[in-house]
Amino acid sequence: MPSIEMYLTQWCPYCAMAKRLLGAKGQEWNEIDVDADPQRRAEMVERSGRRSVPQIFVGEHHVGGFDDLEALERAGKLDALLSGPE
Amino acid sequence: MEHRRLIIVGSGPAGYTAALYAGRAELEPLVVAGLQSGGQLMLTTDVENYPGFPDGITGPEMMELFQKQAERFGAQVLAEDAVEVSLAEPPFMVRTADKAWTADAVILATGASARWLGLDSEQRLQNQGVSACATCDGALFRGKPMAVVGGGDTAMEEALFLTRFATKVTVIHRREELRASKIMQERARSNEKIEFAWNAIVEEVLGDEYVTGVRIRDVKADQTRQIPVEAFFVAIGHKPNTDIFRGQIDLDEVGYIRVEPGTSRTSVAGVFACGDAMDPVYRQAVTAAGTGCMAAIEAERWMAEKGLG
Repeated sequence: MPSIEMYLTQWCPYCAMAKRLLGAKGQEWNEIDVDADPQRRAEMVERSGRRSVPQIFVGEHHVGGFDDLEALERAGKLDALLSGPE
Repeated sequence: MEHRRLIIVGSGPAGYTAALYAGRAELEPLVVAGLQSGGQLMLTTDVENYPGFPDGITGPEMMELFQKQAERFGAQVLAEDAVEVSLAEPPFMVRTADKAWTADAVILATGASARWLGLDSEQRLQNQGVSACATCDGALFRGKPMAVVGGGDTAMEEALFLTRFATKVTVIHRREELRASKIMQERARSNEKIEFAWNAIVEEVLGDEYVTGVRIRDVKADQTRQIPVEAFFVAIGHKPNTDIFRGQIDLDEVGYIRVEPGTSRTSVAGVFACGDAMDPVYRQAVTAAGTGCMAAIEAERWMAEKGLG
């Protein structure tokens, strides 16, 4: 299974929702707290092209934020992505 | 198709309170809670105006307690979105992406979502400094100037929260007076990081790849000026989440579900509404919980009258 990385901040409710959805799927993920670390923040902006949290990566695939994760789930495509090839 | 006696669509304070009362009435309610279960309170940091919590509580913690209490009395909570409903006549139908149920009665508690200004530049720069969630994205702009548009409690709360990170927060409001409660106004006005731009409308969010400022027009002086900011938060109110009910029950011109005054009864017998989806006036957690209670009691009575109890 591809590894999941999530850039987030401590206060962010959509990050919590994303974690809840991934948790319900039995997934584990690596959290990168960009709140206090300007370098990781810059890294997130560079990798995702976005200035909002969360930013979720499944393997090297950039999913986006919670809205994007939710859209994949609604379209029935999230499970395939999470179990997909590395 | 599996049949349930009562289905509750939505899971803010209205939906969970309806579920609590319906559970205690042994209606074994199914709560179609949504992928974003918990509603708007999930986006709220501190809830200071819900009685019973003298020291305040965070929105997400509060919703977890609401959910637990509803589940204790037999409510089944499903974190999936309702994608379709059929409300013509009983049995009603509620469908998620995976499954559909019929029900004798339905309670609609789908709440409301943040409203956007509707500018092209606002849409283009979303995720690039334009946001409707200060608690999410505020920390990303630490040490930068920011702006909030709006004049209600939400706008004040967002502005105050952002002062943790911002060098300065400009609150842009189209009138000369705030709509926010006195206590929130005082807090915002006395915060030295917060400035107000009165009688001002946002004409454009500036920036090519990311937000660099906003252009506002002072409608009294008829002058425009630019404010340099790296983040722009929209807090201009909410619109009811009732699109999937359109054409099936009466909505008002804005989209709020119409109910018989003083009740939760919609235009369809057996369909009840509560919380922000039907309340254009108060829109508080405590009023949502109150109308959720009403909806459950009325649903139970209606089912008993119809011999469905």
